[in-house]
Amino acid sequence: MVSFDILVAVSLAYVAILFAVAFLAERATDGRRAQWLRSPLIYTLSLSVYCTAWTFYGAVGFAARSGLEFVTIYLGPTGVLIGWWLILRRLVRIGRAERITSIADLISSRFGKSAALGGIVTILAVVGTTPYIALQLQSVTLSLSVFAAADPAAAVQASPNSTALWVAVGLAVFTILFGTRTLDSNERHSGVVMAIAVEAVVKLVALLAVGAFVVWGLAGGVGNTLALIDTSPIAQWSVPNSRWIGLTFLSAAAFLCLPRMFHVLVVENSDERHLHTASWAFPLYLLLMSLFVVPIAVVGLDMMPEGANPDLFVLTLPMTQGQNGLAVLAFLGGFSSATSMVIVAAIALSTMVSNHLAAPVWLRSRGEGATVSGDLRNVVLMSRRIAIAVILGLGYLYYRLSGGGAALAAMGLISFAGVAQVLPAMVGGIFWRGATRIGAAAGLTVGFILWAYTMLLPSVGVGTILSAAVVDQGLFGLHWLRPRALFGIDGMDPVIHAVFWSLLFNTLAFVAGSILSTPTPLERMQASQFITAFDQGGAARSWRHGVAEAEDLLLMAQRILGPTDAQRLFRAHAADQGKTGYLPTPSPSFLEALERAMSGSVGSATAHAMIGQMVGGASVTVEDLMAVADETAQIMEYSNRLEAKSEELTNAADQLRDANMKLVQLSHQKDAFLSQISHELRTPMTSIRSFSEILQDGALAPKDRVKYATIISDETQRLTRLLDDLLDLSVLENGQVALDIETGSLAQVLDRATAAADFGGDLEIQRPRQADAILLTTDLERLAQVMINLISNTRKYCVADHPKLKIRARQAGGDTELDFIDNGEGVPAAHRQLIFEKFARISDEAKAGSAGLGLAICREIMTNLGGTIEYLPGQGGAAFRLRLPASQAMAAQ
Amino acid sequence: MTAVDDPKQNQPTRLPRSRRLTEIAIALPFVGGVCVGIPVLWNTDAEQGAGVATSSAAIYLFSVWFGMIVLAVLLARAFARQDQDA
Repeated sequence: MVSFDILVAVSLAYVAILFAVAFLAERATDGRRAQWLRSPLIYTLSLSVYCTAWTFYGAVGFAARSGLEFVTIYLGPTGVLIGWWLILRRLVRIGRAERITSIADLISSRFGKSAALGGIVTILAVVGTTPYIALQLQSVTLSLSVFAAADPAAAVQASPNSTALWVAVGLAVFTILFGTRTLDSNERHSGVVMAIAVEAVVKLVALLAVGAFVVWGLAGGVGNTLALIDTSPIAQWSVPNSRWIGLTFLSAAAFLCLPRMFHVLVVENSDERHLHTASWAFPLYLLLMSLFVVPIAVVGLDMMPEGANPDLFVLTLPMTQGQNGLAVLAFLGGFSSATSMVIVAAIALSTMVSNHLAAPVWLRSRGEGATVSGDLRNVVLMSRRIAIAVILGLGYLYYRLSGGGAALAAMGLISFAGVAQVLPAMVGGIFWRGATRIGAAAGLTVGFILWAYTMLLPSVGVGTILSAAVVDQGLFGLHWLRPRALFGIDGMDPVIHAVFWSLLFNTLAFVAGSILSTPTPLERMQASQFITAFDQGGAARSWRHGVAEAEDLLLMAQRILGPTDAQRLFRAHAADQGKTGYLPTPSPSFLEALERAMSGSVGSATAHAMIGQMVGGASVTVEDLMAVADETAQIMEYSNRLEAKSEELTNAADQLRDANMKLVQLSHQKDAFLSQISHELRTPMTSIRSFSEILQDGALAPKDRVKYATIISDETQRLTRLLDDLLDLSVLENGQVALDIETGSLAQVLDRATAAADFGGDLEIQRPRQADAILLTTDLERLAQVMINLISNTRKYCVADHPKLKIRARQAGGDTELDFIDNGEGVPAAHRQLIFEKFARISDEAKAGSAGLGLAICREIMTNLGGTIEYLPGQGGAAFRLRLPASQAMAAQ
Repeated sequence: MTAVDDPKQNQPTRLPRSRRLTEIAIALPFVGGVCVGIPVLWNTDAEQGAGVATSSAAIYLFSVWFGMIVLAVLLARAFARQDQDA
């Protein structure tokens, strides 16, 4: 019987050996043996982090419960490696070419160096890995408790919780020591990889040893073992088809997407040709790990007492048979499985957390740029250390929450399904040019939510986060939202149910989002970089020779790469450029190399941003250009708008000027009119006053008195007429006149006009012959007033010996034209513009006997009737043409 | 055998070696997938003793598995030789 204390001592010694191996390997990296450290064999063995304690202990338990179903977990990765040409080759090539540091970096980099996507994948990976880490803690705790229970002398029966805590703390320390010792420019950890390779050998040897002991020592040979299998509870093939296919697919997906697998597969890969060897060597490793699982399970079920935990058969079988050495070896194998997984997972996750969560936040909080801020190197390393501690703490928390009671296999599958949500974005990203950031974010988010709802949250225990009501009745009482029977489909295997729905909607959202959104220019460039990874070797983007001083760059690089590496890099490039010393010319190729080196430490997006800050305005990325173009477009639009506004203003100013001029003119007109009217009023007033005074004197002959009184009366009439005319004109001008529309013949109107205008005299009027036939619909009264005016004007101004007025009428196109033509001298051309104005008089006042308002009133009347009046030249005498529209009623409006 | 010595000159020449290797590399996982998918056809609801025994199933699966590994070894060697020739 191995005492508990001895076991603890052996474990600590084993850990010390691992420390030594890791330490020596890191020392040897620079030496000649580095070649050996980077061999295909070490690469293959490092892939064995896939085989965790889940494999080591859990596979036997899995087999004891459901037979051969457990091989699906190893057939999936076998398929991925056998088919390395399809996906792995491409992933490794892209990972090396783009200096990818993690799966989050891959997704972020592919989709336009999106910081948000990197953050989403990081969170998904941390949440997805937490159950897995809990599983490792649980297995180590369980295996330790087996020894503790078997050792009555164990002074302290450590509680499982405190054991798990101590294991978590110990693993955190080891990981921090070896995983974050340096900030390597290519994120490779030779020490850790070497330690993992050693652990890979230990776990394989341990499992094979236990297997051999069980088959040949306990069962009595291969034939007997097969016979035993056929009589066991798992004698018959009973794997449901959905689980057989679903779990194989899931394990293949997880193999690509698990952060730790991506880390050893892609990030730690130093030579693409290592894949050739790994393509068969790792499947062989998996085969050997699986070979004895069923025999151990069957023999355990046969020999161990009822109720024994099948997850621990690997350990308990040798123990109960008194094989203490074998039992300790088995314990170390399980311990190795657990520790290597936790260490690599913690390194991978902490890299993601520091590069995609901590660094962006830190850079943003220090807006002034990478040069003036503190030592980024320390910030990154410190954030990684904290991340490791937090990740292990989360694992421990999950272990405590889930009660440590779940079967190992079930917990592992939860993790697998969680990280598999990255698969659509990853595969789509490296094969499909049209995949966009929006699509990837949509797919990841949808998949993550569905996975958490259907798998993770129920796994923590019903009643912990999801209440029993939600599990039984569905979210919000909606029956089709039950986390284990979405859309009301009962009877599906819970794992397959969760994987199917989450990946289905994830893929749909990814494809739909990609099709419906437009990629940014940087996304397009990165897409073509990723998809044509084998067609070209060019870098993603080029730095223009810039103003960045080599010294500043060195200052920054030292902070990120460490002084030694940075100086080596700079000196090498200086030497390439034929310079001595540490400061090469910051040529585009050098800047590219520096960015690649830095992206190995802080992620491509951050490195690009930092170099961008350093090189400043001299370097122009497509995004910068697009931003500039956007700005230019905005400025142009603004300036266009300004131009339009200014034109508007000019127009308004012109209009204002016009209005002002009109106002000034009107003001002048008003002044002229006032003076005119004063004058017109004053003349009769003067005579009225003078003759009234004469009359007052008395002593006048009656004849004279009558004469003077007559003059006063005439003048008064003249004044009244003038005022009437003014009033009439004002009403007409304001358009306030009420028209009295009626229909009558032209003859009627002419009769009225000639009768009113005829004060005797010798004017001969020739009327048109068809006057009776022409019917007019208008204000006949007003029309007559116009005619009266024209006739009396002829009477006043026509100087011919036998004055004649010829009136012609014509109807054309509905309009009626009336011409009034006399045989006088006519109006001189110079005055024709004036005659229609107020107070316009050409001849002398006395003869006119009026104030010169007649034609002005005529024009206003005609305008009000919708017609016109114009002077008609070339008729021998004065000629006026009246034009009336067909329907006067309309024009009157 | 050069083209000049070949009596059937008009026959299409064989594909270049590298391309054939690539095609085999692409086909291999699909062949493996079909072989591993065979158990889907097995009866899982049979009476005790009437279905496929776990022992036979294990022998079949591990044989397929091992066979794929052997093919992968041959392929990897062919690739390595090609790299050396290049």
